[in-house]
Amino acid sequence: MNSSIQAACELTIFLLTIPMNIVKKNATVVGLYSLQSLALAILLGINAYQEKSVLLGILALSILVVKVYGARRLFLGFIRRNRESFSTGTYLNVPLSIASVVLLTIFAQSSVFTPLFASAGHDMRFGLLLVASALISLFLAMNRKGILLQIIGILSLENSIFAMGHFFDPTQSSGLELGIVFDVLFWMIIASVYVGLVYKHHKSLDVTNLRELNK
Amino acid sequence: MLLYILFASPVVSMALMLLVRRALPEVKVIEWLAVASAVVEFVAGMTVAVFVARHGSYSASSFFTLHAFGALVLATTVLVGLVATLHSVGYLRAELDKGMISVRRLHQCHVLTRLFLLCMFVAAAATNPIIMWIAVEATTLSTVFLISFFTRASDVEAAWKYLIINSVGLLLGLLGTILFLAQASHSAHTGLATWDGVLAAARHMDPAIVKLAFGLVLIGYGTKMGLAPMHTWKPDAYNKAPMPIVALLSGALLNVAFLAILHFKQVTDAAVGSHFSSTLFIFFGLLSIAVPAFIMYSQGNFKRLFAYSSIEHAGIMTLGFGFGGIGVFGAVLHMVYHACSKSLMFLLSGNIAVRYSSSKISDVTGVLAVMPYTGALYGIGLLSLVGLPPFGMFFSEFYVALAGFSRYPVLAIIFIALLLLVFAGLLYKVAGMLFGKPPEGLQRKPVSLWMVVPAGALLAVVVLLSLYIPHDLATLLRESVTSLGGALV
Repeated sequence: MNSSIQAACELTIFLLTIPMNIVKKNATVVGLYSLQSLALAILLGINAYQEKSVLLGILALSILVVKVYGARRLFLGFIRRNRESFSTGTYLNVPLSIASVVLLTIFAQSSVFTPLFASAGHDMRFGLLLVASALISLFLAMNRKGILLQIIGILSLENSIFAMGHFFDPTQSSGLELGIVFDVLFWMIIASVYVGLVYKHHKSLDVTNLRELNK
Repeated sequence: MLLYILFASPVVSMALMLLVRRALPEVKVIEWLAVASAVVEFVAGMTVAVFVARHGSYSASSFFTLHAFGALVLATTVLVGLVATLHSVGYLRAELDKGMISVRRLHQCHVLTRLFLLCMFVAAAATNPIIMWIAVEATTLSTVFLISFFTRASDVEAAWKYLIINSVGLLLGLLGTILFLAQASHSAHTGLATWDGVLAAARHMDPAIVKLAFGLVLIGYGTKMGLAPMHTWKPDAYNKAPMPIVALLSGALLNVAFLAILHFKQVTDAAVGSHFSSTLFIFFGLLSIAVPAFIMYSQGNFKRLFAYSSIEHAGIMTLGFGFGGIGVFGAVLHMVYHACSKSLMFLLSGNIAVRYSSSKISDVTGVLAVMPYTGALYGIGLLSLVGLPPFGMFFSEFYVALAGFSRYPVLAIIFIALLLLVFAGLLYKVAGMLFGKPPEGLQRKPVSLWMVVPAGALLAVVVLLSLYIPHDLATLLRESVTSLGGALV
């Protein structure tokens, strides 16, 4: 039962990265990221239950607070304040973006990555989906012109890597992972401060309008 | 105990600085706190390095242990940290007097500098790869506000670029780290993973996974190091940040990131042989020398020029390890000389930028006439940086080239040709700044001792180390080279 919930969480993490690349509303992407983080928190919660690890439970709870609640509140607040300025544009158009997502998913299933999961305990297919999720998140950060969506791309990449870490070794040190979560928390706060600073100086939150360095 | 003093010093000074109010009279208190902290860190760090030279390693706990190469990185970090802190007193006062910054910003700069140094100390001494990753990522977070320090639109843009590129790079590095750790835990489950534990498990690792993981780590920490083609944040960030911070980024952080890569290189070499990592090192090394060698000629800004020079020197170090043998000795030696010479050049560039209110090469002429001490130090520092004998960089580059000729003669010839290109480019661009007629209205005026004496002392260190290597440093160099699989002279 637990392993099927774990597999469902891993599948959810992957599936949610796909619409993040396509949808046009910033708030929807934030919502998708919150759901993805929720899936990660559930995944870690199950691991905590299985391993009877209090620290892992605290880690799952931290993810719930920082990524599911905190990030959502922070980003939605930004969207409300800067509705007109947030870009949803992409460098590639929608059909090309979809094609890229498909290609990245196929690439993740290739022989390059299969050795990674040969000795892992679970079904290899879900591990490869997490690789696809990481690649698609990286693509999201690179393909979007809006600063907020770049941030979400990086945070989604971090979610995928975190989930992959647990796929390889569910018993790894939770204390250190807690350190990573706090690092992410500070990263989010600092990135958010920069959203404000970039808007203050450039009157835009579209990276294609940041041209001061070229002058 | 010494390592804990090293960690506690910046923490205590930060806490005290935060207690001090932001009013002008307290500026001196903040400055003295920063200086006192830097002196304590220097003494503690150097004592640890000497201990490692004499006893082989220094262990504070299972989380923090230093061997020879880590001690060498720590020693260069505390040295550059001390000099940059002393210089920052004069530099920030000058910016304050010009109205470029407020007292609040000055305060923030000192606090964040201590935090930045703390992160580097932790990264250098960490026995666990994840702790090291967290500390290196924390260096990004502590420096990003320093890159947008002057809060102009271009500063904010450079900081944003720095944050995004380094964050993505380091996340890939984290993925590589996780892959290594997962492999190590499959072989032996011994609790908290350490570098030694991961190395011991290397022989049982899957070669395909190790290659992928090392590629990710090299891209990740290589971004932080500024290796081409992941270097794009570097010229912008170095151009915008306060110069003492740039001295730390180039003279200390680069080495810390390289330390992380070399830890993983050891594991990779043990798992799949040295050919794989050497090939990657040669590729990234040569590319990192070639890109700046050509771009330098189109640079009109001396801070950006030295940023490209920093990329080039990161390439030389990487290439030395790629060539192997005596090249490793050259690369380790080069790391020490580069830390001192490049920090010196950035600190002096700060003096010039403050005096001329510009970092455009075309705006700066007659530095020797306007600022004789700074100009003289700049000229000698430049000769050291381009690797002219008898300066140490000549010898370190010579060893790298020698290793190249013994294994890859064609690549060695390309390497020397690129060095000559850089040599000519740097001299051509900077010599014009030193000589000629100063801009009209710019009078000769004394520069704060804080901005000249630390730089002079650093140049003295460069000259001294070029002519004579103290016994303990020689031991650290020898042990580092041996442990990293190189050959000695």
